[in-house]
Amino acid sequence: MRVLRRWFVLAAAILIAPMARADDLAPFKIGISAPVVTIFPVWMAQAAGLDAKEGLKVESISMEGGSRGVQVLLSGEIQAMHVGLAPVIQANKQGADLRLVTSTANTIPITLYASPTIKTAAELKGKIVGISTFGSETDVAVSIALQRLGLKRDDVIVSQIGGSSQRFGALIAGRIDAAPLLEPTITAAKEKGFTPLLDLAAANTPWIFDGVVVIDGYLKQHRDALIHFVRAYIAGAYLALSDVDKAKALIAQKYKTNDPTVIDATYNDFKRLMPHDAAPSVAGAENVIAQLQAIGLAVGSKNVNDYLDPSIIEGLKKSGYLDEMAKAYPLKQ
Amino acid sequence: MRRFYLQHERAILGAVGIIAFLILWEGFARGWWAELLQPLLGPQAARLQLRPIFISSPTRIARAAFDMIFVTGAIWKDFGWSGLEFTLGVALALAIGIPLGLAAGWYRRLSYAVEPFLTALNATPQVAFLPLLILWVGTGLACRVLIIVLLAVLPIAIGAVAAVRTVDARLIRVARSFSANDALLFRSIILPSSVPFLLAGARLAVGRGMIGIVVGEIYGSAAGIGAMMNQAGSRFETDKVFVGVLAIAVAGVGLVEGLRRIERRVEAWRPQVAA
Amino acid sequence: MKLERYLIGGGTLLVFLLAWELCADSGAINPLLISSPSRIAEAGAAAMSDPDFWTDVRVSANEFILGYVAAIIVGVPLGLLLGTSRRLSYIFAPFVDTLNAVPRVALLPLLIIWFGIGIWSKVAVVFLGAVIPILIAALSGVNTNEARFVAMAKSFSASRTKIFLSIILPGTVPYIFTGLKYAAGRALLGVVVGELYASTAGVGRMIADAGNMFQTDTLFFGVLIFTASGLVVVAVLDRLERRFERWRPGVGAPT
Repeated sequence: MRVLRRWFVLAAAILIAPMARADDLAPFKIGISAPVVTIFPVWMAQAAGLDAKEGLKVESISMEGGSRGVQVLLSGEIQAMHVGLAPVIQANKQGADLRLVTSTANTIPITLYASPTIKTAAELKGKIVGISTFGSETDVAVSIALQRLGLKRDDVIVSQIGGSSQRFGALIAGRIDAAPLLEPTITAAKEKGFTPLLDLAAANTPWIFDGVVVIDGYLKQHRDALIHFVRAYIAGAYLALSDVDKAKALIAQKYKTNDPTVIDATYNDFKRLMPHDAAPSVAGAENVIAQLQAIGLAVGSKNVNDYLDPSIIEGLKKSGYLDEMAKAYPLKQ
Repeated sequence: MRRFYLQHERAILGAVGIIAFLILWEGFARGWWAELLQPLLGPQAARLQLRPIFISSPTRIARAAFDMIFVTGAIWKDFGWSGLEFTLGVALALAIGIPLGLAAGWYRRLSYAVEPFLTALNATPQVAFLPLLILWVGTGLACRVLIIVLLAVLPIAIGAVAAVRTVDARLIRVARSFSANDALLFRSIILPSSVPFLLAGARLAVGRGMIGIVVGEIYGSAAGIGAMMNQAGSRFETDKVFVGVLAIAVAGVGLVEGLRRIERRVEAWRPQVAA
Repeated sequence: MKLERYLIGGGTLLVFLLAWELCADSGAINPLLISSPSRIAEAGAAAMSDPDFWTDVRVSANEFILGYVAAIIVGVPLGLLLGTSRRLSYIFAPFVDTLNAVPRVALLPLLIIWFGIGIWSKVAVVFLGAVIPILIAALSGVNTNEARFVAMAKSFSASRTKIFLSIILPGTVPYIFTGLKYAAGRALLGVVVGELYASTAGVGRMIADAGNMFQTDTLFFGVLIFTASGLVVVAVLDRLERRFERWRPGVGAPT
């Protein structure tokens, strides 16, 4: 709908005096599904000024929901969206042409938590489960978790709440009874005595939970900008992996917490999840396709190449950028 | 031929407008215009083809509607829920709004007392109370009924106040001189003459109720036309979103038209009070 | 008379606020659910010293103003045009009627995919909400005035343009103002629902977040912001209307 948008913005520009901004850096807007641990490379790159080194000025905008963010990506308001593969598959089924180019988690790092009064899965019947938006990773995760717990989706009321921290807030407030959580809220929920009903991460299911997604047309026309962004992003990931103190300081700042347990758990989860080459897992993609069908969602193409584009990462590998990063940011054991 | 046109000009021009619009729309989705203007605009013409994920198309919407109505029948469950919410909400709004409005119109002091509240509620977009209602009663049926009540009660109450205020004072004086008591006065004069105002209020309330259906279902996942549209939107099923828009349009036009007919009938039947 | 009105109105309001405060403070009703006037005032004071709150206010105000002004710019001329051309009005009638019957907030799932999550999707829903009542008001203003005065003016053999400019146009002003007031309500509704549905900032967003976190005090404060905005907008329009009334020639008035 970029045509429509352009007209609209043009009309608006006449209404409000446009503010000219002299800036050498090219703006790059990326949506994030929620401020969760798996978007850490984006934050780290911004915080350390790695984006500016690549000639970009990255702005990250929280969409409080992956599928919501994909809608916004399609509108042309942002250049990329950091989101899992499940919404990408659903969008492409409806005629979008999205491609996932990186991944920060090739498994599902979600645990389904319930309020302390609920002790077993059976007690969840008739209760409210909070998700970000329908069609998002959390929505899919809830369907999978319910299936494994022997429940049907109709047994619970699924309510759109927002990102992980919103869901946790709503859980504490008693507005909802259960929610899929990620770090850092998993540790916080543990500390507060909430009941873990199912740890989807424990099974180490292959998945693609979060990564950079762009419209195919953008990939073709603005490949350079995207490569620069991914370079900064990988540098951010390496910096976070090698400089523990810097990374933890950023976690404390972003999540507004001083709790060392939460900070450590969040950092460790990032370290556990982050593939060093940021490459999306093909096995993960295959499993997402299979699981979406298993929970009754129609899938279009079953060919992973219609959803993944590994060429950017492969290009960086070939050019030796990844080795360069490994040398620049040595990992301590 | 010309006479036929002149007699049905309104319907003919309306139909022409609709058909032209549908063709234009279908053409954007199918790329007819891009193809047509290719020689003129060159590669720029490709912009005139818009993906169905953005705008769907009349034929896609028709197919989705057919599926939802006849094949899966999924829309009936949604209609049922939304209809239930709407009926309960508007009925409650009538049950609260009419007595309140009539009383406030009749007793001056009462109207002074409730005035600040009604003014404030009228100035507020009542949907802003939705998060509060969710805290109070959850996202279930009660919440959705209550938001419809909040939206619909004011036009009804205001209509009722106006109804009482416009009763011909002479009629009341005459009735009083025959020593009619309040109850009799109310039954024989005020109620009959307020019907048109109440109906006008109800017509506004129907429109507000439709908003309530859509807004109330934003958060919940239980069935309902608004919930269906929201989920379809999140799953990029633009065809289904449009089916929802059309369903609401049909229901809204139908209800308002029905009320207008009743109004006209009442108008014709009612003794000319003020005459 | 007027004093009585203010006394009774003010008195009831005061009693209501006191009862509310007492209910919450005594714990008769959980203050977590109903808050209380003093708690709301505190939350309001806290919010006002928070720069995020002012960002929210600015975002919501921008959405309202841009959408509403665009609706006036489009709605009034289009309504006048449809009013003067019978054929055009027949062609557009089905669209105006359909849009009028659909709550425009129902288009939000589409507006997000068209305009994104920033202010433009909200500007669009505000515009759509406000433009229809304005258009219909201008249209019916022209129609009513035409029916009333044109036969008379024609008998003085005035030109069509002259009739329109000197009689019909001024006569539509009260109608347009009625439409503007109604549209202002719809525009505010659009801001709230649009932000509840999808947004990154705004007073509606603030209310939604406060609701999810059970911060009832902040929630009420946000609602009050909207109440105040509604009152201010209507008061401004009333003022403008009175000014126009004075300025316009008394068409229907006895000479």
